[in-house]
Amino acid sequence: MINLIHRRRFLERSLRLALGTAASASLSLPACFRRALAAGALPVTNKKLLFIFLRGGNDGLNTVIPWGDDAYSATTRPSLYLPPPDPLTSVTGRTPDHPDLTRVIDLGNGFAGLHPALKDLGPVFNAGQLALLHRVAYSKQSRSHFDSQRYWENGVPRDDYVSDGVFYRAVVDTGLYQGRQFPAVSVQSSSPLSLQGAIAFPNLYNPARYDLLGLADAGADKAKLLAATNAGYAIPYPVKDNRDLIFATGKQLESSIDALKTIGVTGNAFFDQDGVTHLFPVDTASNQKKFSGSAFGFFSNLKTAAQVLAHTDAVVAGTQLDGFDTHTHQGSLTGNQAQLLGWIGWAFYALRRYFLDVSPQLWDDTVVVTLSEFGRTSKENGSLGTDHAEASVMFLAGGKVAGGVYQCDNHSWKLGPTGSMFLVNNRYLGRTIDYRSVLGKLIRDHLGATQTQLETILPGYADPLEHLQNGGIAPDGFPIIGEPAIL
Amino acid sequence: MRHPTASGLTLALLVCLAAPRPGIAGGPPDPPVLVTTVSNALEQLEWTPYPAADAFLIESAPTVFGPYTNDPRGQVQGYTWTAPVTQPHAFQRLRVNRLSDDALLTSIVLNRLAYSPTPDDLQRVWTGPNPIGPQAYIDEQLAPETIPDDLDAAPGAPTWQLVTMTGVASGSTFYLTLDAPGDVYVAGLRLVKGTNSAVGTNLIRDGDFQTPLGATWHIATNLAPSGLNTNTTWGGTNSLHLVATSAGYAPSSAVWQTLTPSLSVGQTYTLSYWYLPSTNGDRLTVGLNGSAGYKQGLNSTHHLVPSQALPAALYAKLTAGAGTIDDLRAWHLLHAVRGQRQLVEVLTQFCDNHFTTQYTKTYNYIAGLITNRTDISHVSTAFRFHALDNWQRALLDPNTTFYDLLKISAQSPAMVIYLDTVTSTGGNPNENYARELMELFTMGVDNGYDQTDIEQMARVWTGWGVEKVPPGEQQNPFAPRVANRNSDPGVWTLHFTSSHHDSGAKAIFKNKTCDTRFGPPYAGHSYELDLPARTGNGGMQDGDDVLQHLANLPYTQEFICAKLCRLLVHENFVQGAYDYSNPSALSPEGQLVHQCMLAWERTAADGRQGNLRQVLRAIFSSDLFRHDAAAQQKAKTPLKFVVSVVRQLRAVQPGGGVTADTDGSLLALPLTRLNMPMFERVEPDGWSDYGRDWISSASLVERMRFAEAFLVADRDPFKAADLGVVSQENHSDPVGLLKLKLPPSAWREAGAVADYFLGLFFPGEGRANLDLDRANALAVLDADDTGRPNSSPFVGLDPGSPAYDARVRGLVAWLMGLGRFQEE
Repeated sequence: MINLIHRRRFLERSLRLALGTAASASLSLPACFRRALAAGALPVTNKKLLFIFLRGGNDGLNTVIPWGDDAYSATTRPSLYLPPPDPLTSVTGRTPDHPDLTRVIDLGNGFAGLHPALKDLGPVFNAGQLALLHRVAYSKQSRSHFDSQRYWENGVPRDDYVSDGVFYRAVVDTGLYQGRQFPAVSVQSSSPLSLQGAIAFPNLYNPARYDLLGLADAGADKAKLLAATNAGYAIPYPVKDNRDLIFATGKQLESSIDALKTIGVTGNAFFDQDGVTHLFPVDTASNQKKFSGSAFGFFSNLKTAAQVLAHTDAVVAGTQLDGFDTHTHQGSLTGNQAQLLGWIGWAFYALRRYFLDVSPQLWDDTVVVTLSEFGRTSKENGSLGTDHAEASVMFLAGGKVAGGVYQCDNHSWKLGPTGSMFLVNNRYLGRTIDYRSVLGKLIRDHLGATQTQLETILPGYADPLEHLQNGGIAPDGFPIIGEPAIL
Repeated sequence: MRHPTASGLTLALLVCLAAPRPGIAGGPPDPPVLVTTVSNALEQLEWTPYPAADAFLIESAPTVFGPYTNDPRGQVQGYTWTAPVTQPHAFQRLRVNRLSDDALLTSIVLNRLAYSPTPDDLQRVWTGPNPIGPQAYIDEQLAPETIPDDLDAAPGAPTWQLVTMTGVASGSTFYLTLDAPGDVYVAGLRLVKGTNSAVGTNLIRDGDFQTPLGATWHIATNLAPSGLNTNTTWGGTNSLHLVATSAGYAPSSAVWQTLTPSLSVGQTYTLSYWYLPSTNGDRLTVGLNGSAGYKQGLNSTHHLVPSQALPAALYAKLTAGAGTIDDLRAWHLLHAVRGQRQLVEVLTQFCDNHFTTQYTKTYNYIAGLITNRTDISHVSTAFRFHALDNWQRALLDPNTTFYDLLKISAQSPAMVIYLDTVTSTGGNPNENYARELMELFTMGVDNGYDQTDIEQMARVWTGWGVEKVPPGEQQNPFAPRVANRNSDPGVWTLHFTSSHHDSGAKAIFKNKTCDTRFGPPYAGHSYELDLPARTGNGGMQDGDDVLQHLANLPYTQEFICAKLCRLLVHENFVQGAYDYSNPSALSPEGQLVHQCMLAWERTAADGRQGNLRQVLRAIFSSDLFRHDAAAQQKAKTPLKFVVSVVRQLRAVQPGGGVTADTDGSLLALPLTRLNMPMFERVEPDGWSDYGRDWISSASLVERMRFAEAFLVADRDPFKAADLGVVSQENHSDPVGLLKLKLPPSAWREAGAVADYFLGLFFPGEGRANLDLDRANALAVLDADDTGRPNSSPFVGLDPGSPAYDARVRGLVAWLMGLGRFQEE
């Protein structure tokens, strides 16, 4: 059935091209239809969503670790394996305050634990504001980074022709974008697919450079150039494939440059409760966490995303962290993955502190979520690493998030060499949660989309056979739980 | 068509195209829509923009049947015609004069087969006297071996070079310094008052080095080995042999003297000196302290070889295995900017990107094997350079096939490292290369293979690695490695370790046959590949068997042809979706991919399939390529953008020199800022083909900033504000270009200046579509830095003045930030 959709869309595009009327960048509904879908008065919300895409495919099995399953062992994962927590230190329903960092950190359900590099997640988890969702994927998993990232971002698995993003639709199809200066913002080197669409949303990289330079000394002609540039992007033009996007992007430059100047994004006086440790290590001076300097770019982007969410009308902000494609030398206690997990753990801790310090209400209104295109093989490969696989972990945090461990427990996890860890092709961790069920719940119950809107934002919701809301047997024959009770 | 209008005027709104091409794939779209309004005794016609419109004309006739003649009552501005309402009422129609097909094709050809048109290219192909026309340019570029191009040719013996510069004194400390270890000879230093280097007292003491150096000059420790040289002389006089053991940047790390009496700060002086080009070291800085405070201070940084010799010097260094990744970037970018074989440059970049690797990954791997950092960087650079060099050579050969290009990639140590083959062993193979070889380099994702094939193919590559072998053994993958990689002489190369190879039989694509959608001659053919058990070094043959097999599979043909079409036509070509079994039902894009595949399938003169030029010819002769479907439909990648900023201003001066240029190195930083750091792509899918991945607000701002910084006048310290130290080879002179291409009578005319640059930058747009941009351009030219309208009419500026120069620079930088300049 999905094939029919591509075919139709594809023919439509080919037809348009045959006529020479250049197809616009977006293949889905034109903006006027979207506005019609967002019927009624302009929606009002203070809710915020911050996403972090963990690119490369994070090894979920060495993130939230099923230590209660013997299949997670030094045999299956000789160089990656981490020993289980000492049961004497375990506390039901929470992590120990002073965990042994040479072992898995117990999550208090007798089965799952955190990679010790994620120790900074402890306080967020113990506050009941961190949900750890295991076994998240989609049906007919693609093991291509590029395809799988595309499906996570366009919200339609196995459809290569939906070229606008799921978070884009979440703010556009709901009408939330209307009347906002920064409906959605990406803070990374280029605009991610999840926020791409016919309406150009600002993408920031280095906010200190987000202005023209000018040619006259000290940029005395900047205002002249910016005004002339604005005029240049305002004129009508014959349509070309990329022109709508280019002109739409150019048109909002002047206003977004002006707006960003008012936020003070270059400041970094945000500290942990000790008053010394910077929440965002963006340079050596702010690096009390002693992270590798390669973390600075990520935390700088994260800081900007948080500031824009906190101080503008932005609904969605996002960034990414690269490097999870650990085919070789993945490491265990230390190493490539551990380093990245250390940053992620601190990122969640820091975001919670930052938003709480701005206002407790803001943290209540915010959800932070991670995405990653797939998990990695349950067995280690010959290069001390892991290859592309299937299900992985999502992190969710926020003042109103129902914290806890989902789908990594004694009841739902099948143990052993033919269990959950080898459910697919005898190689891969099988999924029990469709990522769309997580995003769908967030978009509807947090951002306020109606069920009808949700069915266009995540078209899988319109197909009862997908069972995204209430669970059931997915079209590929695997049982899924539907929406987890995360809010 | 509709009539009459609500106002009671009898108007026939017809549309007439000068050159309609109904039914041609890639032809123009539907005619524009007309709307009529009447108010305040003004009649207004409006229509929608139309591509490649050179003129919009409103014609009227007494009856709907004509005869139609130009309606003289009104004026067209942009997409509107306005006239006073007069009697009698007439029938009117809009006539669109389109650019000629060849004019449009010129714009397409110079943007796709080349890194954008230079002013000279545009003249030679189309706008100048006796133009060769776009087809002749295509034919030339398809036979690049016949195009003279001596960029990399070894230069003759170096000869002394004169540097002269007139500027303003900023201090009285005069210094020379080198910004990297190395050496150079300098002689005949003269600094005089005024603008004529030959006239006046030399204010530098012992500028011709007649007395022992230490007597007059101070020598910083990093330049301690420097001294007078009586053997290497300039015109018979001694020279200064400047020898740096480490980098210097300021008078404190220079050879320097305090001028006495002191110079008059702010007064004009002229500095001149000679230097003997050197390939040892990087750049020489000569000048006065404090020059950062002056727009035209006396301070110059330039390479130790003349600008025109830079590519050859870099090539020699890289060939000798002594180049760094920065050298490789500079060389690659210089080729893009200056190469005459532009299609080869575009396709070399295509190969490098399609078969991408990552410098840092190579570096980190080699760093695990040897310790000397310089050696690590040279070895890592050499792998990438040799792949580029091999592709470039291959592209000059008429018989080159896709297999040849694929093999260069597969055998490159950079690739063997990049996709983890170096760590893959029999019994526990790493799947990375096998997966990406099919997904990204040959067949395309989900196109004719599955996980089982990946697992089978992963076994093929086990045993492939990279090693240092004795000198002379670089073509022998079985040569034993040197005992001590750090100290033994040798060369790093592809290496096969049979004990790491899985020697068992392999069955790839078992029981698979080509999809029916491929139609004849492909459909239904089995493409199972069975490799026998092979022991010892024979196991390496598995790899070549796989490459041979993959190279001409229809899946590969389809994926590569679609990707070439995305490179050369427009973005909307896909793979895995066209049904070639019924060609008449295919979209024009599907038909073109099919034509390319059939050209691929046809055996060439050497009896092989996959001939690259046959495929390119199929694309260049297609209607899709030659018409609106290609014209300006693509967004420039950052690479194309930064190169075009230089190339579009780069005309050759009759007396030597060019109106814009770069040393290549300068472009590396803006590319990093634009998220396209050369040779550092992390992901194996290469840089994106799609505009949507490159166009964002942050990237537009960075593009504008680069155009602005590049257009700041040479030696203006503000240029360094965004780019750091700017070597003098990085040069822009748009006024020089104007003066070369426009008669003096036009220099003061804002309209003529605007028209020149609009026509140069946007040749495929049609003048009528640039009408509103032209109005904006006039406003930019007629305003000072405040931007107040008409605050400083252009006509009042002296074409020799800094104000005129600054105004034109501002215009050009602004045009390069506009939407259309982001397209190709």
